[in-house]
Amino acid sequence: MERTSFINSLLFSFFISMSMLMLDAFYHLASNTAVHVNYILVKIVIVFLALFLTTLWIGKGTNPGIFSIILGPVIFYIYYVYADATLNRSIFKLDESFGYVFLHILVFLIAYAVFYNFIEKKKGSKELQSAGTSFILALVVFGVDTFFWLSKVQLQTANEEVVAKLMSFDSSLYLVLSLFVTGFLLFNYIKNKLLRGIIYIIAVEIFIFLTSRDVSRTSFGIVSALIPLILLNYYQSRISK
Amino acid sequence: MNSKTKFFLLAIITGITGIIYTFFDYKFLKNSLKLSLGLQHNSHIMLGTLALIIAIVAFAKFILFLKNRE
Repeated sequence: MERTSFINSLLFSFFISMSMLMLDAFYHLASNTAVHVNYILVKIVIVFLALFLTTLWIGKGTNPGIFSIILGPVIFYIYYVYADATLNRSIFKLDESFGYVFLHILVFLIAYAVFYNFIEKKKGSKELQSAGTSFILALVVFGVDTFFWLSKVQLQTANEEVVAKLMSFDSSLYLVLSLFVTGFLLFNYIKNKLLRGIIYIIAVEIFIFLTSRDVSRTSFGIVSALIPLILLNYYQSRISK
Repeated sequence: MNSKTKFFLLAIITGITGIIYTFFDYKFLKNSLKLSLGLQHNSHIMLGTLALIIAIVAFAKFILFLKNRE
């Protein structure tokens, strides 16, 4: 197990919990389970805190990883069991049954394994590392963009049932796969970080516009792409020291 | 106070807080314990689950301290 600093733990947990959440959102979209902004926030806070404290106090690695990927989903299930419903169960299907604990553990495991092996430890070939980096980056960019979009509509309509019906599997998959392929090509073939970043931001803008046709969401795409890019670059420079 | 004791105390305090806020009934929290803090019940459960996470990880850290000593 490796001891980690506060900032490293914060960034490590941010990337993994965000990727885990968006992988989970994909399953929910595919299985017609509601992707509800309040539950997303609860889930990310719980998963993030479990992973952050484990990384900060215990460390990174196989055992702390297994500990945190079980702790987060189990505590989230406890929240679901005891909290009052905020969505109408007769209209929306929620991920509140016990079986979803295993789904949450699985997506958490995938996100943790990809980030830890390909970004943190730089295992495997260059292509594999580029694929891992672009996979995490695509999910985090999609996550920030989705948070902006859902929060915007929630504030405008103040209607949780409208927000829970916003996302669709097809457009989300199109956006993430496009970002993944673009990211992979950029990380694999372009060494200049500035050029890579600029092209990636332009690509994010184009893909968000094509999937949403929403000018405000497209404009916010600069922030959606810039924040993860800067944080990932900062994290990689910290771990390479 | 050494780190081991700090983590043990943290685990106990946040564990009790977490159990109270997560598993106790809203009316019991509000009327008998006077610990509702003016919050809705879902917020109590959120606070409770966060406290439980802190307690479990602090307890794991405490166990590691014990294990490393042996």
